[in-house]
Amino acid sequence: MPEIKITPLGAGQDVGRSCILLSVGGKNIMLDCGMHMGFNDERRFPDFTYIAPEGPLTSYIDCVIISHFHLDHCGALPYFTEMVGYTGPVYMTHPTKAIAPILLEDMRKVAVERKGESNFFTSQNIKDCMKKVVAVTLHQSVMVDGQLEIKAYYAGHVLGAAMFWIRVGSQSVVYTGDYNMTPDRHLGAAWIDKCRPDLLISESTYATTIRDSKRCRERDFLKKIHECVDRGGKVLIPVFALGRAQELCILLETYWERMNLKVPVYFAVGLTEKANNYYKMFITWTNQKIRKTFVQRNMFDFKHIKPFDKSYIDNPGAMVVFATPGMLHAGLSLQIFKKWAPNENNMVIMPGFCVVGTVGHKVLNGAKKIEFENRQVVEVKMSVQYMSFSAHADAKGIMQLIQYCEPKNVMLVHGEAAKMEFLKEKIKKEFDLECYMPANGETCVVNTSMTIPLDVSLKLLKAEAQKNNSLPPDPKRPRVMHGVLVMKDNSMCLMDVDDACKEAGINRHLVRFTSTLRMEDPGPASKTAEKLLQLIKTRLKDCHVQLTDGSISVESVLVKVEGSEDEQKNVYVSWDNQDEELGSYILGLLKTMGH
Amino acid sequence: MQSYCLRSPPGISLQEIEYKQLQMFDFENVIQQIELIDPRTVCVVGKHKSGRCEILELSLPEKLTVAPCNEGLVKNSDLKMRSGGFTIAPVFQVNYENYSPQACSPSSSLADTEGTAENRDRDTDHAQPTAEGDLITRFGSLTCEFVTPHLALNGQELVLLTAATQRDLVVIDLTVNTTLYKLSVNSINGSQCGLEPSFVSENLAALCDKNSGSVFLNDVRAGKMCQNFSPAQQHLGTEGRVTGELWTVRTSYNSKGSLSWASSGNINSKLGLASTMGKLIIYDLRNTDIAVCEADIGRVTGIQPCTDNPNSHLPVINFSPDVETQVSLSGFDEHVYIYDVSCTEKFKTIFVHDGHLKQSGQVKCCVTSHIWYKENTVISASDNSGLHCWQFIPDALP
Repeated sequence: MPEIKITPLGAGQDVGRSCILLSVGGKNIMLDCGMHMGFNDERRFPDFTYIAPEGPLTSYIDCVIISHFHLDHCGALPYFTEMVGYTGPVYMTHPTKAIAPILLEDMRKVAVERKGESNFFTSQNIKDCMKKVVAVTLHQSVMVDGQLEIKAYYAGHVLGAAMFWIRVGSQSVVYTGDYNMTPDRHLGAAWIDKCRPDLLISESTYATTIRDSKRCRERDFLKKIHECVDRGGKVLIPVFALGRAQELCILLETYWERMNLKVPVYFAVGLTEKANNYYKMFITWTNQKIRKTFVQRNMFDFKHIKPFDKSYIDNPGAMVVFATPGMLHAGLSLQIFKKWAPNENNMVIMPGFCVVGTVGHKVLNGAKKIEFENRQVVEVKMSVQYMSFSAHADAKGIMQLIQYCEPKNVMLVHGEAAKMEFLKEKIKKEFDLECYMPANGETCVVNTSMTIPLDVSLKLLKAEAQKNNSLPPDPKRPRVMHGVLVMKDNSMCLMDVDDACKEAGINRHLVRFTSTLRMEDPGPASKTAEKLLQLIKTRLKDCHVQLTDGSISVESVLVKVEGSEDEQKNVYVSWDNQDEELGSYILGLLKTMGH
Repeated sequence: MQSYCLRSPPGISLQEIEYKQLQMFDFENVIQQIELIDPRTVCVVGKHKSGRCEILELSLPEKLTVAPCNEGLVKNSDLKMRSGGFTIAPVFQVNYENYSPQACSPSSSLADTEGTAENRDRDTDHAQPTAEGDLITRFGSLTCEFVTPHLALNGQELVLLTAATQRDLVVIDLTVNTTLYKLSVNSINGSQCGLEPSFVSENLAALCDKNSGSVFLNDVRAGKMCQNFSPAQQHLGTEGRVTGELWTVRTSYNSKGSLSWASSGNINSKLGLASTMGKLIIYDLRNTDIAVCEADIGRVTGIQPCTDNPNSHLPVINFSPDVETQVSLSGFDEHVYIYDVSCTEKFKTIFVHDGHLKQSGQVKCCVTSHIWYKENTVISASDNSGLHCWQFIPDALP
């Protein structure tokens, strides 16, 4: 049975540093190459020594596919290509190719300059890495080499995120990366056709969660902000430059417009300016509504949201500020946080996941005092809110995707083990599909059935159809065809024997066997023949047994009785080599009759 | 100047005023029944598109369960699936009593007339969500000969089953798993419909004749009828009487599942009758000669009974756990209605929840079931796969 082998080096029963090795049809593919944001040592990168103990891995991997620009999916790419060594192709969508280097550079700066790390990849590394990237368009089929084909599908989630369909020969795999099945204000929902892959590798961040509707979460979010600015407080919303920031900006912009609010809203300059530009550039990757209104006005040209300046931190009065980075671990958002935290009128809204160890994480866990490296202690009196707007598929969404693409097997990654266990059982019970959830370093083998497409001669099809129609209708009856497989050039065709002989240019030879039995049976030959007929009829109920001109015939087997009245009878049994089994059975049967 | 904002859904500003809290969930299946297991968990039964019934145990979101003073750090507003499974036979009713939910489901073949009440036991380990099918297992099953029965529970001991088409009832003691007795209630007019049971107190059950709305009180321990009264005889709800009108009953004893009950040691139960033609009659069981409140809500149920569940077209009526004069009603259309039923003169609508219609984008839908969670908070489900948890502000309506 042909197999597909999968080994996660990251995101196997956990979230972070996604990196999945796929081996199909003799090709090795690396899906995503992410970095774990929670570790500061070598654990943040996937363990590439699994592939080979050392040295360049170009010969081991046929291609690398990156699903989207989140660092837990592409953060280790420069390390992999430049420091471990890989010169093969890297595939990603156009927006991902444009945005990933920016995020990588930003991350590198924070790691090296602010944290003082050595042995990190350099700016030049990032540039060299991106030179190896081949950008792909949605729904465009790309041949990596003669046998390996890939295609990108829209995944929602963030700008440029894609799900990839990979095919080698007759085996195919779909890797989803991160996706969501409900459309956003600025992105559409994931979509895939009924490609029926042998394996679907899906993220399962929210495997057992049924999420509150977006409208209710937005309502809550806006209500909290409104209440805070009404009492003169300041609201800080730490965001990552790209992703939820644009979504929340659009939300706040429309609300401010509708409620006619005058409180200033700011957006931190820098990375974010570039981000807006990217959204404008890749407008085709956003959703329908935005594209429609784009003609009149670009959604990302905000009327109520202005660029922020550090001097505004001390401005009196209410305001709302979107600042990077999202986990309050460095930069402007942390600076603002330190200034605003001691005032209980103020509010900070964490719109997403925070890695352990960051200030964002501490604050979400209720810390009232935060101590920094320079012995500075900040009291947290401001209100802390958590509003999750991350765009991942929930339990219902995952089931929907499985329904759309109809895979033969499912594998769950990027989630928590216990939740994946629940979803695994549900998938098995609901769809009757095998479901896998390997841990990091664990190899999973999926057996796929091999289907070889064949041509069938019209004559054979007609003959079978005729035979089937003559029998009483039975939808459960297996339809069987008997023929000769002729392989000519690159095609394979099933045809009947005579045509095959013609095709091959050979004469058909038939072999016929005859065996004679001697029997003691007084009476005329015809009587003996009758007895034999009855015997054969009772034993071979399914076969068509006939008596014609004193000869019994069953398929191609002929039984003839000769001999005069009192003498021994000679029973001649003859058959074609095609009916060998039937012939020898009847022979054996008649032998026993003799006594 | 043409407005360029994305159109916000209609009515969102109203929602900001009326609700203290609102959560809307979108399920795979149509949820037909909801039962509260404990202050943090609900059990829902849904009809899967394959035709099977799926039971899910869900953790309620912290936004609902955690007190408002801790609101700041409340993490999530999502439902978490804790365990679940597909049932073998269609589930008609789920009642929850102190850690042993009873799911009532008949055999699915038509020839079989067995009804089985299944005891599903639940592990009390809250720590880990586990694989589907592990926790919810058939703990035991009882058989009775009713098909599509109604079920009512008191405490942990007795289950009262009634048939859909005859006026028979059976009482089964769960602790020893045996049938205590079977009774038949004689009917004057030979009605074809059965009785619906609802416990009034630990030992007394009310049985409502679905056709006429007559109520029989049965002393469950002694196994005999002690009282009966009929709205028809009292000339209540007889105006515009339609053939095929069906009645359903609920007592305030049933609200004990919700949070607030434990504190009040309320013995005086109220009983509410609701009909498919929109009639609502409330009795105080201390005096069943006159009704406390009689009203017509002006709506009728439009649903046709579905073949595999003849009970599905009955409206759902529930008493508020805190305010005995508040009653909720659903099953007529896409709304859940909250009424003040202190007396006929003061009858009025306190609140109407219309979220289910909004969620479906104005496509007509029907609320299948609802329960009270705590004061002013209701959980309701509709036939477009939605489930809402909402906390309303009374008197918010103009």
